Amino acid sequence: MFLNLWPEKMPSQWRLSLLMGLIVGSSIALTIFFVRAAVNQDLRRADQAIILDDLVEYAAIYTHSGVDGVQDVFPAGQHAESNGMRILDGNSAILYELIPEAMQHYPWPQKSPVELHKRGDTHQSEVTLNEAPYHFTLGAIRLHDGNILWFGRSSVEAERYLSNIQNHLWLAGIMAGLVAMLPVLWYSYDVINPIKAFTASAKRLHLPEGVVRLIAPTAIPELKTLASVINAGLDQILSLTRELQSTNDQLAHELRTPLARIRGNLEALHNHTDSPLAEDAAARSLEEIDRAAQLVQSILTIRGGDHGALRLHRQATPVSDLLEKLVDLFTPAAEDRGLKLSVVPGLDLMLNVDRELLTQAVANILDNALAYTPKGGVIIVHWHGEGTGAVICVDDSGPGVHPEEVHMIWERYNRGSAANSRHPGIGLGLSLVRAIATAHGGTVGVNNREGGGASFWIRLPQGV
Amino acid sequence: MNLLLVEDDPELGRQMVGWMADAGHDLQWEERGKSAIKWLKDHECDAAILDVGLPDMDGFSLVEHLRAEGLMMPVLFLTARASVADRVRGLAAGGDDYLTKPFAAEELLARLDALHRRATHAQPTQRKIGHCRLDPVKRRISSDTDTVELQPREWTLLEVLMNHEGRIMPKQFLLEQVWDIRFDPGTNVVDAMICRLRRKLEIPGCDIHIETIRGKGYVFKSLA
Repeated sequence: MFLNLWPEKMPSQWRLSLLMGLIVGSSIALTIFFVRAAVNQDLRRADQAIILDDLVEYAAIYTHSGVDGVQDVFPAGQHAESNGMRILDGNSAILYELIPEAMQHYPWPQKSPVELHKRGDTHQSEVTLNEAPYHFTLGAIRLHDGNILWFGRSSVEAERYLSNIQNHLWLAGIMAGLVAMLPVLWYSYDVINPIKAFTASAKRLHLPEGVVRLIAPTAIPELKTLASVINAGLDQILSLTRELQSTNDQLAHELRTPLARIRGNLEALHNHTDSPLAEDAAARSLEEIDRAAQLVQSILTIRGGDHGALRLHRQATPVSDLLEKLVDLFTPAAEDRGLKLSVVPGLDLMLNVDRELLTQAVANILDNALAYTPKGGVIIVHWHGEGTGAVICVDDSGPGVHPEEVHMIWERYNRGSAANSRHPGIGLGLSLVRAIATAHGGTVGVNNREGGGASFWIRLPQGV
Repeated sequence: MNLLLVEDDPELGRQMVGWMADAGHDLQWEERGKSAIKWLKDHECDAAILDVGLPDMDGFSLVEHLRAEGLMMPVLFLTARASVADRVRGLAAGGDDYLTKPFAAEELLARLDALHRRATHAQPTQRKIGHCRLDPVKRRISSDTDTVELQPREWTLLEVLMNHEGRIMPKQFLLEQVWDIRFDPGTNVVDAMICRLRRKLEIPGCDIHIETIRGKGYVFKSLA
């Protein structure tokens, strides 16, 4: 429809204002057009009646008192600037004439019109001049002595009436236009503002710890209903999330306590056995138990992160500090593997994040990079600001990621084809990274770098 | 040390009684929060180990209660909940440390030791081991013939190990004390750092040894 003609991003208040303006404007224009036409017609008739009246009146005065009488009476009449008179005798000589300056450019007749045959006959004609703003109505009457009295009247007065009416109509139109803006105001306060508030709330919905609801106390009933329906859905999601959280806690408890008991007994075995074989077995089992506990924790973190049920402990964290500490931690291990690990100093950025979880996320990427980068390789950690958030990158000189696996490697239990038996693990590391980023409202990704190697990145918003 | 353990799991309680006896500590084991409060009325204790999930009250409220009573001994929480939020809550309630199940006996002992050292303002790190002189300002170790400088983290690691001489320091405890990291970073970062430290300490006349104990951790030994 014609709505398509409007710029796509034009706010709807502006659209409505334009529409209302168009409606009011065209109504005023139409009203003025028709009123003008009607009033104009009436005023012409009135002018003609006035001319006829005046002709008869001055003819009577002439009959009674001759040219002198007319000469006395006519100039005393009102609207001298719009009425003119000329009396011609039978030879078309001017007996009397009073034509105001404003009317002199009209073609005043020099002789009698032929159709006036007997006394009292009248004739009227209308003259419109292109250069004159007003039209001119001219009447003639045959006087008792055969002379002709011409009476001319310009439409100045009629136009004055008309413009007066027109001005009032415009005034009424402007008032109507203002009144027509009331729906626009209503629309923007009760419809557009609530929708904007909804949008602002909805933008924060993905934040896991957020109990954001759509609130708009001034909204129209339909929008309020929409908000309450959505809020009810959100309540349900929240209660499911809470349930998931408590299930996670419970699960952790149920698994961790027996693991603790087993661990304690294994330690007793390890400490008190005389058999080196049993001691070795116990030591291996202890390592396995610790790995299992770590695994349980990772799975719970991933589950929680992916479902927005991870409780974050956000605190203002300088990115440089966090990354430099981690690089410091991994450097000896990297050097043992013949790798060069370094951090590129960058902007001093503060993020409001769960420091421990983010540390763990970056540590997992580093762990991954150390595992897959061949000896002699280089691993570079760097970061930059993006909007109010940050992007943390770990570039390596390893085999890179197969294009088909770019998305797959973040999934639980998936390991890229570069994985081999030298690097044990069940592929939770990167899904943990993704879960932690998601819990922060961030994203993760990997690009293959030009010249080989992969660049893993975590994009994090500032945090609330 | 005189220790109080409040733990409702009989198996864990029994194990801990054994460990503490082996380590030479006196341990009073209570299964309920109320009975612990009662016991504390008549007894002194150097540190308390509290399970967070107790049948009659949770460990956090127990600490709040103790702190309100004016009992200021170090408190270590034992819990099956590993999230940071829980740990923060525990520390906010008045706890001093937080240990997640399952845990190593050495880890518990090392933490209790650290808490006790902190509470009693123990001696700072010694300056001389055998023929070695330690300079904490310059992070330098010198024997009669040789001198070696340590990186800040290497120094911190050495200090932690030295402060618990003869005790097994689990990997997780070292990660937390030295790097402030409470998860397993996967890569053998601690091993690598220990190896590097060991290599640096291989200077003539320096009798410091850091031993690795499989499945358990590292022990600092000075033969001097």
